[in-house]
Amino acid sequence: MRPLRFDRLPILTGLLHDRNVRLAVTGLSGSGKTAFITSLVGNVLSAVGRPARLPFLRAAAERRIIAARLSAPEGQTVAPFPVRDTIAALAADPPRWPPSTTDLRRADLSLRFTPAGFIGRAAGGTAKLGVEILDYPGEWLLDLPLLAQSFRDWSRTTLDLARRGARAPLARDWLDFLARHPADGAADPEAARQAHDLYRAFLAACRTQEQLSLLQPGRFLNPGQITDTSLLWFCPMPFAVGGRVREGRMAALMEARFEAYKRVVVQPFFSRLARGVDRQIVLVDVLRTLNAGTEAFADQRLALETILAAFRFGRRSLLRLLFGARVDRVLFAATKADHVPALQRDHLEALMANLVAVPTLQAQRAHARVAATALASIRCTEDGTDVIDGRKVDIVIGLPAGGERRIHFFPGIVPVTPPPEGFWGERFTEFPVFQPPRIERAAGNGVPHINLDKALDFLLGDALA
Amino acid sequence: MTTETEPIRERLRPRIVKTGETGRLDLDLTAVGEPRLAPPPRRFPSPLAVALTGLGILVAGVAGIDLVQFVDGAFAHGTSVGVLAAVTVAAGAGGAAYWLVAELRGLMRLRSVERLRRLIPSALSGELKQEIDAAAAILARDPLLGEAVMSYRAVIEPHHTGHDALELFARFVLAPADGLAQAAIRRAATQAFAINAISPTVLLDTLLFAVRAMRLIREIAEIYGQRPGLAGTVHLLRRLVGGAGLVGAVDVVGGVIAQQLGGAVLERLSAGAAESAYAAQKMARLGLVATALCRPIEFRPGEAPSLAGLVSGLWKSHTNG
Repeated sequence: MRPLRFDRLPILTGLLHDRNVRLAVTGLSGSGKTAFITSLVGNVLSAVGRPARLPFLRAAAERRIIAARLSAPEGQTVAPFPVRDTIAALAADPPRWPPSTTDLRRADLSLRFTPAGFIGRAAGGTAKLGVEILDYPGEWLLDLPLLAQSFRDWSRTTLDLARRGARAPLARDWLDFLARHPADGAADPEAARQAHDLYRAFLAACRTQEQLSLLQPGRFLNPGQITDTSLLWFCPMPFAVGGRVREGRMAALMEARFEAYKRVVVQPFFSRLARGVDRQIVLVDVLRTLNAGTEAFADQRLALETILAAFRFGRRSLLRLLFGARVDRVLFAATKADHVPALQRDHLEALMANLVAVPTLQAQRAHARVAATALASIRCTEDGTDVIDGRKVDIVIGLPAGGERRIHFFPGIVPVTPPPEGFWGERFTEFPVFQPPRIERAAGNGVPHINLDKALDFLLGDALA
Repeated sequence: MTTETEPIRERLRPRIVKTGETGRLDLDLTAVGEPRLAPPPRRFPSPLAVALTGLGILVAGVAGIDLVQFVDGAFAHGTSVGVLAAVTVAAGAGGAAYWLVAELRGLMRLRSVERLRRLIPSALSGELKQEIDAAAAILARDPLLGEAVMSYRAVIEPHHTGHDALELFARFVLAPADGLAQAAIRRAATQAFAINAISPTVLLDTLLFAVRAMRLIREIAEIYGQRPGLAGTVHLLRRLVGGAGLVGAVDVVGGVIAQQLGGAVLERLSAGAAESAYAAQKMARLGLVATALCRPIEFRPGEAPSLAGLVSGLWKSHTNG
């Protein structure tokens, strides 16, 4: 019998614990994806020397992370996340927010850690965790449901929505144009392009003026790198009830482009994204829409439900059916938690949890995990109190971006459940943008945050165990 | 707390208030200073306490007068004898005063921990943070846990909520303290096994078991920053009466199991070994009850250590060692 070679045990640790995790980071425009990835990278790189930055990430708190480095992405298929540029923006004087995500990007982190388990400890040695972080505009997720929809169904749903509420006045020019160029009119590529431009302007107005979120197709506002932009030159068309799409008509031209868009742009993107994605974080700016009014909030909820439909767990998941994806953990994070004082942060988290309550139950049945949290990837404020209308209230204190004098911001009352009719008052459109804290260019001190460590523990904790 | 059911008219809308303050905020990690415990609410003393205080004063007064007379009498025999008597009395009185102060300080620490245990479950988020800071201040004096408290203070930040603080305190301070307590229980259980195995008589066995159990309780209390004196130990034992009931129940259950299994399993073991194992189990149970009582923050569901955990810990400590 051969004697047991104890010097080989560290290799056993590596075999047991070495792994790679693919983490997809998404969120609707302005939700803070770039800030999240910058803070994640900055804080993980500093976790070796400054574990106190991430006390809720068990591996960091227990000082089991031995080394962390940013590695160059393998292959050239996806553009690298510009970590240097984003850190340079935060290290500038005065510090500024880095530019937001417009395309698919990737950052690779490599961690070496001591396993926490009894077997790992007994065997000695260290393990390696590769974290591949994928960053892409959240609007693109809204394209996933299009894959299961026909042009006719999508047109009907989108036109119904465009004729109601805050969308109606913004859609007037586009709808007038469609009335002059009906679906059964002769196909005219130039008219189709004009219709697309008007529809795109309508979507842009919905986003900027009304803070609406359910704006399909996602690539219309955030095209990314598309070589043939003519693929985008379509828009929803009104169909007569029971009418058929005939060759050479306007509707047929639009439908052909819609199908080409799905085939050439949407399908390859999700195929590439879904391959091997284990973890997903969806960042949601709940506070901004809560202040923007009932319609913006309801629309964000609808957009969220549309995204959640893609992440429906179990055999009926669209991602799994079409691309074989196996996302086993999804975290929904209400961002900008530093815009509310401590007690309200619990409310924000509860509100986020309520918004995703149904998929959480579905996930539990499918042995996957969904959680909700409230976080600030880069903390810009501190808590304080002030007297407003004779009442002492908790507020946050910060320096507005581009300003010189600090402000006290009272964010209103954050409800713990989706608010009832009586909640809504006047819209609050002056939602402040605070100047980020100035960080050191060299990794070492980390980035101030709120609950980023809790998010990382949920997303990566098991891989670092 | 304002809720969403409040009428719109009364609810404050979001607001930006401009200030004259300038400059960036300092958001770097900050160490939390050592807080002071708020004074406990004033209570009227119980009749027994008044009676005991009165009796104490009587005894101290009589002893004092006797000692004065003793010193006076000694001076009557000569100056050198008088000085010697005075020094002797001063040394005795000093020792007694030192012991009394130590007792009082131990008792006060015990009371502080008990107050925290009462307050923390019902504390609001903001208050919770203050109470946990107070618990950290108590444990910071413990030489074994001073470093753990420093680690906690290094990670706690002003933006953390009370629940965050509780979680971090449990992770950074109470987890190491629980580990020390469990190590103490394992040591005591091992010794109880040995005592039972080598003790020649039942009386001696019982006496040694009681002494070791008392030491274990004091050890656990010390780990959680209570460092009880004689009065503190008596106070702890009074609190343990409820817990001792639990241990008694374990005895009964253990006895029934022993009777039921007697024919099948225990016959195969030597009677002495079985009894020793049972003594070790009793000591461990007592230690677990003492841990639950002395911990400044009660165990959350699923967090309390179990006998099975102690046994596996014993094995781990042996393999690691």
